[in-house]
Amino acid sequence: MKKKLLAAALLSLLAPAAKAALFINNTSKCTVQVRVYAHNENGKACELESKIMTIPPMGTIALNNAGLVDTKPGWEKEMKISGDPKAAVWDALSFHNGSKTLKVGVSGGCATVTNGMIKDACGADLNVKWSVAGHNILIELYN
Amino acid sequence: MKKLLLAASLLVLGAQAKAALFINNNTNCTLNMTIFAFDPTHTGCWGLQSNLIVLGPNSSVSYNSVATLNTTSPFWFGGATASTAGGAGTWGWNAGKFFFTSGGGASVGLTSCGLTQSVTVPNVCGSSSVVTWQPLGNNIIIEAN
Repeated sequence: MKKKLLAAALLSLLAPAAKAALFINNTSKCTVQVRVYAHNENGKACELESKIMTIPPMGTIALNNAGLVDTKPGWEKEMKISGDPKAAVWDALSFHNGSKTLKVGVSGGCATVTNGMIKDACGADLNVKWSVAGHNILIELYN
Repeated sequence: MKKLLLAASLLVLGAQAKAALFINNNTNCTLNMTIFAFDPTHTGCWGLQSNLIVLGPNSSVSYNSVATLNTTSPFWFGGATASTAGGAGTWGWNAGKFFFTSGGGASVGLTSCGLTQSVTVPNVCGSSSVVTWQPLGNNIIIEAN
């Protein structure tokens, strides 16, 4: 019984890296267009770049694992997640306002900051904030 | 007196309003859930009740605010319309009542609603699942692992 408990405890310790969802919450007044970046288990940071995701004002996206991006909206260069999709890792998110890009994400990945401010497509200041929440990544876009 | 207490507890709840709800099902079993929330005209812990949210294995769903369910499936029970017009503090998420397609269910939510923030459900499609209710920034996440 004790061994089983120990095994369960160890498994729960191992679980975090392998079960990360990405949540994007747009509470700004403007429609935003973003790309997300990820890598396969044992892959290189940001090796996967998603196609554009469009999120309306007060809209959200919840991605249980990076494998879901394979089908919607897909990765650039028609790449796919290889191996266990639940073991893939989220690296960054970029916001593009038509002329400038702000990329936020983990240090050591392809982003240099975890949060920043940029003009949104409606001309207002937009905060883009990447935070780690439990096993998951939360990105908040707000004016 | 009771009304005052209710008003006071709503003020306390308000601290986490202006908040999205994320539901994350990391199990291999379908998760069925009813969400409870409040707004100025649907007060208390059970003021707003959603229709059944059906979330497949290893999938997630999110709602930006209680108003999202006015226009997004599965909508509020009875065709209720939630309002966020009063701003932060006038609305929020209270609880999630759930059952798995195999293994049974329970509820998680605010302790002020008499609920626990973590429940272990045995035999969910082969292994036990821990379902948690947790603040995530200004938001709430309900996660089944």
